[in-house]
Amino acid sequence: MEKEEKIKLLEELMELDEGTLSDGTLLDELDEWDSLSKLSLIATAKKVFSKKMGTEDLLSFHTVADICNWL
Amino acid sequence: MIVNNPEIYSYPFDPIDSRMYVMINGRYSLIIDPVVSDHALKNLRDHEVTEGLILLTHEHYDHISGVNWLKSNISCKVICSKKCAENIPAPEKNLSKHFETLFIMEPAEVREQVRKLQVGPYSCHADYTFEKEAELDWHGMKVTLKETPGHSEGSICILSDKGIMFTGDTIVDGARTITKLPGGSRKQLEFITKPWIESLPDSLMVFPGHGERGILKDLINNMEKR
Repeated sequence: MEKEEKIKLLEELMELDEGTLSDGTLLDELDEWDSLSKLSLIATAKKVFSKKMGTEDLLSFHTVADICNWL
Repeated sequence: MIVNNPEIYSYPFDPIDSRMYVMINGRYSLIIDPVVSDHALKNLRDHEVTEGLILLTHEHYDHISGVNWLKSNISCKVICSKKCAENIPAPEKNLSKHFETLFIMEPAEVREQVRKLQVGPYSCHADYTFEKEAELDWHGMKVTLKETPGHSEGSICILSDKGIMFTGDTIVDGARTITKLPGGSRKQLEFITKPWIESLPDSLMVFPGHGERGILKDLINNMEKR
């Protein structure tokens, strides 16, 4: 999956308008990057990318790019 | 907490404050979203309840965590939507597998409280299911079960002819309906569930999946302020 598609997926997951996120967006500055989004990301990683994401992974993400690179 | 006519008992599931509701009629009980609660069990035993009917508002762990426990204590049957029934056996879909993740941003003491709960992959099963809508007569009380997708695939609202409704997480007090969890859909909430809720009497007494009860109109107003 291309990075643009991953970003779109994250926007949907966080219920943000399209174009809100970019590579450098800081997650800590997003109200929408809450525990529900994190849980949803774990489920999406498994369902869409067949990858197992853990709590340590979640805590290591600082920017949107970090998530995209992990996925 | 007890609400009269009909008498409704409420039991919270800490630390997320989801609510189990219990109604008792003779030796029968109607139980919405069971949680493990010694107080609830004592109450059921004090009333000499021997048969329970469990209704699930949706498939998430905080609303089904007491199903197996209750079934091991009282003869019970479980009714929920077909989608809910498909999801409750799967720990990834009922979210028990990721329960602790919901609290990773909470203070350390809350995380410790959750850790002590030792929530592991949880699975339970339904006895009866329905699609779209179903009606049942529970010892003289007409109960309508209505699919209300949006918060989750298997979400329903439970409406009785006594002017009360159990909404699960479709309507909670003071918060916008959450649709970002797996299986959630803002579109389904807006185009299927919301029009149905808007068709209901404003004066309905709503017992939400989290938080305190309230009049439908007030709860909707509180949601729209968010």
